[in-house]
Amino acid sequence: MNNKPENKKIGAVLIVGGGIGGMQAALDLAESGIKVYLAEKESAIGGVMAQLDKTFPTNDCAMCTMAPRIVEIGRHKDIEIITLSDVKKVEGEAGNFKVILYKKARYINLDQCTGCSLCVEKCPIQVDSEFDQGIIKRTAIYRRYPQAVPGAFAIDKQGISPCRFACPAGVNPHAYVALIAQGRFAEALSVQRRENPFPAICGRICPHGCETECRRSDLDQPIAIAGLKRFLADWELANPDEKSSLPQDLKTKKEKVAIIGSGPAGLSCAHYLAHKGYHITIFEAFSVAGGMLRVGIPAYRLPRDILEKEIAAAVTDLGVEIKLNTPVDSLDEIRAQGYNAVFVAAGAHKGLTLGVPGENSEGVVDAVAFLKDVNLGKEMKLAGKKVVVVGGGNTAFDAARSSLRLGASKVTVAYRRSRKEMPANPWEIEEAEQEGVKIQYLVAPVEILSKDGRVANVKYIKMQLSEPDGSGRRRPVPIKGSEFSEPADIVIPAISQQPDLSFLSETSDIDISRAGSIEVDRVTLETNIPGVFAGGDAVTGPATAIEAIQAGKIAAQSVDRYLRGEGLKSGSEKGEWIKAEKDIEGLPEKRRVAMPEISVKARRDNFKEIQLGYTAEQAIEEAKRCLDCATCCECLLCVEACGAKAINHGMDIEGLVTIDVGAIILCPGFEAFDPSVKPELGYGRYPNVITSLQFERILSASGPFSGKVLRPSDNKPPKRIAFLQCVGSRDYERDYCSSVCCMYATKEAIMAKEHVGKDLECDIFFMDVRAFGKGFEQYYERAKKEGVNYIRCRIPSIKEVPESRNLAIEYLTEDDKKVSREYDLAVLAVGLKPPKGVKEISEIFGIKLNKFDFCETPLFRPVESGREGIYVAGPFTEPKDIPETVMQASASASKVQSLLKEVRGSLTGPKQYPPEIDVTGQEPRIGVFVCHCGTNIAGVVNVPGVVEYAKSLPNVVFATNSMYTCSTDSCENIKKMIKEHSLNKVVVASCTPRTHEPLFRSVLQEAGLNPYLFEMANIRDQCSWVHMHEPERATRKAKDLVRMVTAKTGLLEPLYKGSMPLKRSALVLGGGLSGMVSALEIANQGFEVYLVEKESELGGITKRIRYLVNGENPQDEIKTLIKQVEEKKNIHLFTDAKIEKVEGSIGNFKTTILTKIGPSTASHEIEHGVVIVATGAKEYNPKEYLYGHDERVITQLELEERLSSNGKSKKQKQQPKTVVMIQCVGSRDEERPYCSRMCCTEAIKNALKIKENTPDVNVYILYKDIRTYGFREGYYTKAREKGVVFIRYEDNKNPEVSINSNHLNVKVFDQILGMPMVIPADLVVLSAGIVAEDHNKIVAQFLKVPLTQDNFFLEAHMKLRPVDFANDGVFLCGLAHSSKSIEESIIQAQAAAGRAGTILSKDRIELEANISSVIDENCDGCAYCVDPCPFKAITLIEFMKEGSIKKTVQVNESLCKGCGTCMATCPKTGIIVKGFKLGQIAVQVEAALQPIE
Amino acid sequence: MASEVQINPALVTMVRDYGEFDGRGCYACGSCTVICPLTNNSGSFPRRPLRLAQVGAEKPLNGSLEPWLCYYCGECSTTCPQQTEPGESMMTLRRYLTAHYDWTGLAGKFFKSAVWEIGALVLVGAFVAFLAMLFHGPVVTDRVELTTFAPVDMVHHFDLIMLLTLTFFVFSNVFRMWWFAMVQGVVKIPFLLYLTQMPKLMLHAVTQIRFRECTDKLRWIKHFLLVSGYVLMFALIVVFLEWFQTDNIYPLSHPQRWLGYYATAVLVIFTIEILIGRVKKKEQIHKYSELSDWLFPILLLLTAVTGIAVHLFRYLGLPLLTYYTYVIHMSIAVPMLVIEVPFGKWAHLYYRPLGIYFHTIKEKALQLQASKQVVPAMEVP
Repeated sequence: MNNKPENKKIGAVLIVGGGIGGMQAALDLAESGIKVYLAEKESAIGGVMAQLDKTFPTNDCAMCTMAPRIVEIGRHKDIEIITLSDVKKVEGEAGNFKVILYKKARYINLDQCTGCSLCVEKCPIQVDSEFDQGIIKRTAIYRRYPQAVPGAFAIDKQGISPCRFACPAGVNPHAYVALIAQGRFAEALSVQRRENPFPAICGRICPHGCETECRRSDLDQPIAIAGLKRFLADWELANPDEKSSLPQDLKTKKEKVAIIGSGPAGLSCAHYLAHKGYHITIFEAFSVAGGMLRVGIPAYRLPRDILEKEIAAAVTDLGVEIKLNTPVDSLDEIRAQGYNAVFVAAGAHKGLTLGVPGENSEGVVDAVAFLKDVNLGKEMKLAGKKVVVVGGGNTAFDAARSSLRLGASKVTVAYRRSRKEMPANPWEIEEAEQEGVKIQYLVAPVEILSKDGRVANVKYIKMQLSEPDGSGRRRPVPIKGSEFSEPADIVIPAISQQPDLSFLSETSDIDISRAGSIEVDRVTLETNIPGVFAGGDAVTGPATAIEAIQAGKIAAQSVDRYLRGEGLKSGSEKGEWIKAEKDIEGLPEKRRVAMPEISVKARRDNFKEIQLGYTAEQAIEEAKRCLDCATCCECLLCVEACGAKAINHGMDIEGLVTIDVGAIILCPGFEAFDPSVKPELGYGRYPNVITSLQFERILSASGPFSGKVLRPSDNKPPKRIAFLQCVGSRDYERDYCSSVCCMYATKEAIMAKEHVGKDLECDIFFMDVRAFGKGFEQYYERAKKEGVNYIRCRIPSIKEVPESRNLAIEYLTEDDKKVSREYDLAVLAVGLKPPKGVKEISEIFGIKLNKFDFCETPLFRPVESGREGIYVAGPFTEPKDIPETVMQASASASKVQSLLKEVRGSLTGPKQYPPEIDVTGQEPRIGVFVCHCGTNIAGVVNVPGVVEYAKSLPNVVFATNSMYTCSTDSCENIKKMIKEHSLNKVVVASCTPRTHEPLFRSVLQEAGLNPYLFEMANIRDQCSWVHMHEPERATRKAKDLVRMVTAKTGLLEPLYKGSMPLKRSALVLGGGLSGMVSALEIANQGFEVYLVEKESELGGITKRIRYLVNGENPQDEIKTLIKQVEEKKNIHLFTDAKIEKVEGSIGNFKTTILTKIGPSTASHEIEHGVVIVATGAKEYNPKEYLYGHDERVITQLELEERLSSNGKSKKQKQQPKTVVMIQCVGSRDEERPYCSRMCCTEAIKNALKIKENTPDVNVYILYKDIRTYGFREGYYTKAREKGVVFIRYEDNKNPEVSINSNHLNVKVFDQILGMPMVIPADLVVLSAGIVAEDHNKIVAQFLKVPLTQDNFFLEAHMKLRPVDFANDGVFLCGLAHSSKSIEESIIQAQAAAGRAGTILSKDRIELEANISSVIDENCDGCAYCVDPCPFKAITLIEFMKEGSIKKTVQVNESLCKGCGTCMATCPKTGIIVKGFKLGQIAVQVEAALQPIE
Repeated sequence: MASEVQINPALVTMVRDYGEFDGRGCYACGSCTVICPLTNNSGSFPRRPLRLAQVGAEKPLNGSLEPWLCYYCGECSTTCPQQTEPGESMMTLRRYLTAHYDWTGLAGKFFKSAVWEIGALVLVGAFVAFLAMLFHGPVVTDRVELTTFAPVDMVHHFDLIMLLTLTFFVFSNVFRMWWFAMVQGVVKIPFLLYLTQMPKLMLHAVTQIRFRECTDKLRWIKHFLLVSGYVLMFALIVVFLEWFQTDNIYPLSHPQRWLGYYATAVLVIFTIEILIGRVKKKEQIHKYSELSDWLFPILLLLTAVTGIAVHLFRYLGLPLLTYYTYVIHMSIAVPMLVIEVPFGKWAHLYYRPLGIYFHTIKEKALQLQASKQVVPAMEVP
């Protein structure tokens, strides 16, 4: 798809956003031959609709209605879903765009993941579930929701946790801390050991830079990582049974490796090499193993037994030999002993001298030597002595504290800088001070004064700090003349130490640096001598144990590579790490769990360990403080758990994907308003204040409480719920209405009552109930009847009642009484905001935003972004509901179909299969494949048992089991087995055919079998899941299911989908705005259109609209439209016409049209593939309010005419001073219980026009609810600002219009003031509603489509199929559907065209295979089946047979859906459904009844 | 059922002449009244009075007492989702009502026109200066003898005449207030209630205790101190002038000194505080300032400052300067009282407690009426 020549159109589209809008557009376009790339920023498509519970006004389950669509998209061959992606760049022009997408790694291989969810059980990380709106947690490896497509999991990574980032050895504290928090100590330990074999040691003496970097330290205190690590080691010692088993491949290699030095570097190297199977010998000069750990670190920090046990566990138990008291004299000698490689880790054991006079006096001993003597148990005589330690590092403090323990009377640490610069760990300094060590800062010894050769005094000079030196610390400078001296018996210089490599330098040519350390390659640690490696302090000079351990680890790797003859550097660079930066704002503080330790008194005269370690409870509590900075901690336990080997933590973090497309559709959705920016509502502070989206999740059966309505603070069912409307809508910052909140709150209240019970009180606080959509008003009335309480007041604040955590809400009743009421739960109806990152979207795509940052679209081109070839749909352009989104998406699809009509089908095409094997006449040879589904099935059902049982069944020639039958390799295996065993029928016993049958059918096709020779037994959903606690009975049931299905399979026959050619033309009924738009769209897509209009002129009711609320003149547009329609070659226009007859069905309709030509009529017969109903509606003719009796009472359309007519009528009629408008005339009453949707906006439009023309005129609007949804709200605000007075009246208190001595008076009862008021009016304007056309009934009969109670046409599904009829091939749009605005009519008209295009773009109509078929010999034409058929697919026909008239029925294959109703009604087996023949069902029933064994 | 209200569509335009009203278009959501710490069920505001004005219910608006129940803490304005400034609209209604109560029509003229208001102040000031020029006593120049320059009894008589005039205007306007609110209202008021509720009037007039219920308690304390200084000074110069205005310089412990100092100090401090607040516009209540809002503190401050100057010059023994300053002082203080007390912002000092008083009476009357209606049912044993 690369390198297309310029300006050549590409038959592909990019759809941004996989919500319901993007999904609709994707399906429409993929069906019409356009290749679809569906880019979604989350890990799965579905958008917000997937999170919803039920949908209004039908109470259908959102997920149930959309799931088949999600599955269809996931399986569609021409739709490619690109998840976790953002568009970064768009180049090119309409027809040929180059788009660059930034795709985040999923870390899961889509093809391999079977969605079994075993990984989830292993993941120790819990983060707020976005899908469940933070009410519950999800794991770091997650699937957005159970039905998600793609069904594969994803891993949420936010980089590398700072603790892990900080560790020189790459140890992963995040992982083991997370596991400790879950009490999974053994797993934590093994994860820890991957990078560090010495947890007991490092848990005690490591300076733990990880804690310094811990993000929690910015909040309160870092996690006690070292303490937790130590806990793990201690726990293991206390629970030897839990000890992880030793690796099995010890000493499997013949090579021998010598390690010089048994310090941390040597031990670490030995550990890792032993794991790899080498023979290791460690040469140790001292009498004990452990190096500095043993001879440098005092026992109170690292007890000897701990050290010894850990060396044993990690090294000697692996078969490593440690030769003590064995100094090495030369490398050659070692090599001569047959060692293939050497690792030199001799440490740095030579203490540096002070370089001052008197240093050689008796009583001066360097710290390294001193500590060695102490630690090797040499008797020391320090009792009563004054000890001076010179230096400020950990060694200095080790020496000082050891001296104290050995009885020194006074111990002073002399340091030449200040405390701030001191390199020792702060806790060491503190503990030393607690124990009584004195510290002198800013002094340096200049001379050691001796008496009789023994130290007597130390002479110091005072220092001051100057500029920082190379290490960044301020350099100390002596203060002249500040010398002073103090008495001392022992002086211990602890300045630094360096390696003592005399044994090497003398006997080999190994490179030694000037600082006295071994020169090595920084990456591989190889010295200049091949096969000789070096690391630890011997290379770096004095450093930490963890650095030495890391060196040992690297050396082990290098040695291994060396011995295997590999390049030493191959792949030794670790990938670039990005440090995770957790947002800690607003997180609660929690102090770390204090580490128990022995008191100063109890420790200062002995070498007992100071810190006592955590208990398991303490460790868990402490570990739970972890903030999980990186989300995924990379413990890699999921990798171990994944049977499908689908997880790859090493996937590239980012990737740029370039695609070429001809057009782009943007459906990025919306962002829900975050109510925490309004602190007075308490969201985020009070647990029982939640958002409506959270409440949707609570209501949802798949939600956090499985559909139980519980409140978050105590998980108890609420008794009273308050719903607060307009949170983030209809205020001065967001002066728009979010359009959906009133209805979703109504629905949530109804559903909550349904879940909790009738006694649940639901109060909805609102300003106007905006039930403006089709069926909404009736839904609102229903809610009131069911006891939902509507209170007309906007709530400014919520207060929590402390004890009960209930919420006190103050409000005003409509008659102005202030009331306070307590609620258990408050649901904030959050409004719709533009999607996140909308500014970027607008920049990248080059599109314009309006003042609220929604995408701006022209009123007459409502899906156009302003940039050609880029279309928009959904709440991105204005807050809107699902059907409006779906319509706009189909409308966008229509635009793309027109743009890319020449290249339709160029990138799509049917899948090619091998020729089908003829199996007729063959004995059944059935193969049964039983699925483990990870442990989903195998955890309960004895799968091998089922396989064995299957083998025993008749006709079964092969049976096997597999981990995941749907995985790619298993599917390949099915094909292989079909060939090998000449299988001619296949049974898969696994999950549900709803999701998997199409996959397995195509596997059969790929193997050359007819796809209908396949059956599924659902032993997961219907067996292992529902009987998870009864494995035996579940296994029996699984066998039953397999037996039944196998029995039926034996009787399966090949079936074929039929197809019919279709007429690629459309009939459009109605030449109003919608009809014309629809006709033009279809014509632009390249198809023939027959446009039928009953009047002599085109234009419909729109011709009466003189101006629009935004000031535009629609007549210009209408004129242009009419001209375009008349000029378009492939539109055939019939005016003064009506329908005589409609025959046929989708693809092949035949319609007779009568046209009036003067006094005579002409008949035209046309053939077409689809029908679009755009027959419009009309204004209600009022009978109320003296209309028709007084010429001063007019309708809005009449007012509009007056206001727009030029001057002439103004002179005729006196200018009115006061105009009173009355809303809901002919709407929302008993006769027409629906809202006409547009009257509020129309009244405000005309009121504004009046104010614009003559500002002095008083305008009163009497209303029930002002329903200016979406951006119309702004005009309502404007009208109020201009002084239009709005007075609300109640249902049963309609205004009265009367004439009093020729004065018009309007009486209205103001609800708020509680007063009847009389307005002297000069003009009364009635906002008459929209009513359906009378002829709708006739059209409905012709087309076999239903009408609503109000005689508007009824679509197939109110939410998801708003322009379709249940009857395929017939679509509707415009006012024929329901009242709507010009913009909405255009969208729906374009949508109808878009939907029509999915059919017209095909050559043939494909029919179902599992449909009804008449058995002629049995059918006697009784016609019992004709009426019950819900699809009107059966007709009774007569034919001649042997001279007499016989009757039979005929099935219209394009209408039949294979539901089986006809088969059930037929008394004579005269009609059957293919694939469900009576015989096939009978054997299944017989098999079910057959006893097992 | 209340009787029908004839709508006057021009009402809102009339109200708007008195200041800020309904800036962004109220949709009567009720937030303002819900958040108001002072509103209660018998005196619901701000929504109700604002709505009366919006729809044009003139008669009920003229009789409404709710604007006087509001102390303008500004909560309603900060809460209003449409930022319509209900607090300031209530302020405007108070101006409208003050003007409506005033039968002379002067209050309306002063509120609506700067020329009228400042003109009137200048005129009265000039008249005072003119009187001083005509009637002042001998000018003693070797020492300060203010009582000689301005004979106390003469000034005192002048004060009393002024007091009587003011009382006449105030009482006649208060009568009209009573008429609109109490007589033309829908409830019949038993006369006894006027007596039993009298302590309430006193309490509120003296303490402005309702103000304390506003969210910011500090504002009540400030206001209370200012009023105490003002009332004290008013009493000292109008009633006790002969004792107060003397050429004797008493010791600091003398009440004449410290009472005077206290009064002037709080006047200066709190008028300056008010003026700074109005300049800065930081607090909700100071966002909008009409001329009447400016003039009242400015005049008070100037009166206090010139009063201090008189006292200072006398103390320093500067006779001429003392006399001239005294004339200036009088030319400010007198117009302030004559113009502002009956016709200006000052009027709230009596309309507000009266409003609360009348409102309470009305509330009680309504309760009585309601209890009478249910009496028969209750009498059944």
